[in-house]
Amino acid sequence: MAVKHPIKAFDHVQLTEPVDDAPTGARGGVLEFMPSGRAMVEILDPPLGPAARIVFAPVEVLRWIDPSWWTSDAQKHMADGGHVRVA
Amino acid sequence: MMAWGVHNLQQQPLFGINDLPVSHLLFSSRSSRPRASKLLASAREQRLSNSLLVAGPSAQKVRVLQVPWPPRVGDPLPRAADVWYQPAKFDDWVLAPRGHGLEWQRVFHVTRKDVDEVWGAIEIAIRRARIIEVRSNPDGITCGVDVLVTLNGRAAMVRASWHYADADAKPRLVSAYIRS
Repeated sequence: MAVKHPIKAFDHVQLTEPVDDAPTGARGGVLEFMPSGRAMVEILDPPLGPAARIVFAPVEVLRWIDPSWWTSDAQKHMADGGHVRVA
Repeated sequence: MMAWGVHNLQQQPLFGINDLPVSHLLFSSRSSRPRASKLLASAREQRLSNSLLVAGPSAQKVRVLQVPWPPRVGDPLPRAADVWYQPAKFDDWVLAPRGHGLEWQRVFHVTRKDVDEVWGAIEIAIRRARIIEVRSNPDGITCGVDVLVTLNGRAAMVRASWHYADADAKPRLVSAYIRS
């Protein structure tokens, strides 16, 4: 029997339904819980624009996922994409 | 009587007070000319680069500082001088490994202990930023901006998301990450 993982702020989650610009299966982190009861989630995958990536999702459509998917190759790849110059 | 206000050339024209919802009015009064110079100083403080003080017989009895609302792509971030953040957002997300911490560490060589420097750099850069994306929903309005941030002798484009709970709210940092 599946055990439902409680979701807290800054947990990584996956959407089980599309929310705003984010499709089903999108992954990201819960930034906070709004007074409306919805969760503010930053979508990390797929990449979205800086406003579109912030979605307000009903908690019922959030599924907890292990954050290791992000803290390994995904974020390193993103960091390497930064346009860095030495001032 | 002449009226004074800050008019952004790229925004809507200056309106009479009856044309604007209350949320657009930072203040209104019948104060005299010295108050107008305070208004101009305030506008300068907010670095509204396209603003100027206007006066003329067509204006009415009030002094109006208009904040573009709702924000649109190309606008400066409304109330950019009043940006704020919640410490947990930096500690547990922006500069944390489970959020964007590895990016900031690799690009700027900063960690969670450098939150004051990171915020200071964002706070300065945001005043000149223009909105590149807006989303509106029942929980408020989210604006995205790109800013050039310089830290530790390194410079990179940072993409930041700001949330307004309502039309009167100050912009609150939601997330900030290295633009790839």
